Amino acid sequence: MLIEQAIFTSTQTERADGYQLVSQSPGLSAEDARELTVWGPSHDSLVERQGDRSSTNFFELASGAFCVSRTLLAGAEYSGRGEVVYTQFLIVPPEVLARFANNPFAILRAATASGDLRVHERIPKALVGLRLGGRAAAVDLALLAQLARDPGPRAMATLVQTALASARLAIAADISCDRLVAGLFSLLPVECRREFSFSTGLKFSPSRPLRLATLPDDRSSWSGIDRQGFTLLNLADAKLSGPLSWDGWAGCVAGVLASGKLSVLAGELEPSRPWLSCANLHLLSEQVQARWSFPTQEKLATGADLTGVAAGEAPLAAVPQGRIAQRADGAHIRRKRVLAAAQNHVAKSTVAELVEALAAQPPEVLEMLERIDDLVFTAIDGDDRSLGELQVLWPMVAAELNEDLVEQSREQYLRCALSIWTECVEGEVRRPERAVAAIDVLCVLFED
Amino acid sequence: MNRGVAIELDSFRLASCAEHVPCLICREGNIPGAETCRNCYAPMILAHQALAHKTVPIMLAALGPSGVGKTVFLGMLLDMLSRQSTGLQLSACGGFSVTLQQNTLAALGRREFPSKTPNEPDRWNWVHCQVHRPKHRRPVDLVLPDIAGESLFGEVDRPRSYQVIHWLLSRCDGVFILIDGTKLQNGSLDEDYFTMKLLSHLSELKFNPKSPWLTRPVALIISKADQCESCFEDPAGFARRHAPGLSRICQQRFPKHFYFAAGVAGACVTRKVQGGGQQSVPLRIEPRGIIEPFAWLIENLRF
Repeated sequence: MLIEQAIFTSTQTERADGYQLVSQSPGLSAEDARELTVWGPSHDSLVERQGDRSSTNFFELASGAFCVSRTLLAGAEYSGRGEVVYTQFLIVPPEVLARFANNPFAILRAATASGDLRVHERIPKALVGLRLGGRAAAVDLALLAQLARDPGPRAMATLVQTALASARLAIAADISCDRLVAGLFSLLPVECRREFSFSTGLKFSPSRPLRLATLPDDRSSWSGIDRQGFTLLNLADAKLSGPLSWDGWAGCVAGVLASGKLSVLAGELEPSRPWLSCANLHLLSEQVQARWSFPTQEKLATGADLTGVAAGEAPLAAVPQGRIAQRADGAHIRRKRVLAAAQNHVAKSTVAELVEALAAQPPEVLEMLERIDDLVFTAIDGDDRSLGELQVLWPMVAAELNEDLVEQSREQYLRCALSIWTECVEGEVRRPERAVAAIDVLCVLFED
Repeated sequence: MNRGVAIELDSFRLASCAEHVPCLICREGNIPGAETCRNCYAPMILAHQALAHKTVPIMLAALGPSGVGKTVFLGMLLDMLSRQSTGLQLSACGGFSVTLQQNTLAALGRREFPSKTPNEPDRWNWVHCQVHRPKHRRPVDLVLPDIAGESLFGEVDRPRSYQVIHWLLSRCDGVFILIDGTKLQNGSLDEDYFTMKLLSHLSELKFNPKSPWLTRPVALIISKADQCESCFEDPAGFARRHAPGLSRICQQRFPKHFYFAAGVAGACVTRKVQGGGQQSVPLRIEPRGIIEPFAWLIENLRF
């Protein structure tokens, strides 16, 4: 199916001067064209924010198709009256949007990659319909891994809860609003995403009714947005505020992000559920919570880290050594073959020190280390999801453990990775992709 | 058992919101706290002020394509009339009504023309003021918006695209139509075609059978006249020579029409802007022919 497109900007044409639908593909209906003309952002429509001034936009047209667009500044206007605002609209049929997991950001990525989404120096008189191949995963793990670190699980869960509860939500954030809204879409079930029209950088206008909008840096301009029916969410406040609690799907999101089990989320969102909508999302939340155990609401709400130790809480007493040895070794035993080569080089005293250090850790920490073990080895085997989860989990675990234990763990993984590297590059069977995966894992583990 | 107490229900408090305030432009009912009309996006403060003054204000509109000088003309007109001590005078109703003249004069003071008016109706400048006429004791309320040329073009091209323009044009009591004199002089037919389309659109509007559009006054203003001095002497002749289609449609359909020439900048230069585009720079402020079209419209309105 074709994706029709149109460009809305300010220029001088034979028809008129100023902001207009300058060019469009032949399949764009007159009704859609009229709607886009009224919707199109004109002079000074982008929110004042530091850095890149652009906006990703998504809304449903009256025809039932979905409009995904990108707005940015494109040099001086022909009349010299400020910078010209340039918008490229893609009119996406519902079937195509579904193939891209109902994720407008995935559509834009695909269109950008194919060279179809760009600022034309000379706008052609007519455009052609696009045919975007491929599909998108339901969850962008790498993005969620980054968002779980900044702004963090509490802020993201709050964003999900507020977005689900608000008819119109205005978001203020000190990180890229494009990444934030893209992350929100990755956290929502695929079937619910179409309900969230948004703009990541356009000023409010009643002629562009959107469910999610973003706010400029200047706080003085926030006043009065409640009178326009918006709920205001300042994510900086959400990060700093006291105890919070999340219901339903937001509770699941908080649990997934805090525990680093992103693959759980990805696995849960993969199957199609045509019956699902925002109205009955609680049914899915109950199913997910019944299947998986996440950190308790209290621990998440009080800013507890993913290891389960609340901030300011006294460390738990050491558990019996036998239990610890069993748990710690258990993870390593599964990878006996891989570790065999490495262990030959490890001084016995180092292993003994590590076992001793592990013995002093609370069971929650050991469980998490075991999870790290699993992730490291599956990531080395080439599992991208595990690598994504590791990116989230490792920095949080590393922040909680003492430096010696972190260094010792790194040393063990380094030995293991080097042995794999040697095996892959110098051995009889050459598998460079595995060696690269091992290096990727090391990059995560040694990143400060 | 508890003793009975009278508790005001929240729902009862909300009942006050059931009283709708009609928008001044489209008459659609809105809740009292609304800032803009939910149908046409015109500011609701106009409706509240009209209710407070217990009058239906007269409405005028400045029409023309993008870049013709509507904002400069209106801003200068309001500033001049609000400073006059004799003859026609204006007094703004509410701070928002001063914004247009303030922005225009501030931009001209910086040797710039005011920034482009956005397409979004909620971002237009609206003026609500009182017109004080000589020999009349009671002032007349007036509402005057600064419409974006692109939106006007969109409405003329596809009627009902912009509800606010549709209702404003249907209700307004008279219009200023601005035509770029420099473009006419350079032989461009775009201005002629646009104005013909616009006049044809106006003549087809049917709202009030007692006051058909064809009986309302139309002031045709050749703008930027400081850059084509000859049109000051005979604006009607200038229009006949350079915009014959426009002249004919006015003669045939609009009995109450009159040509004017107006200019705000005494002299302009053009400079290239970094990144493309050419900017027109006003070298001095020398308004000519600004008040005359307004005075003529007021004189020809039915009160």
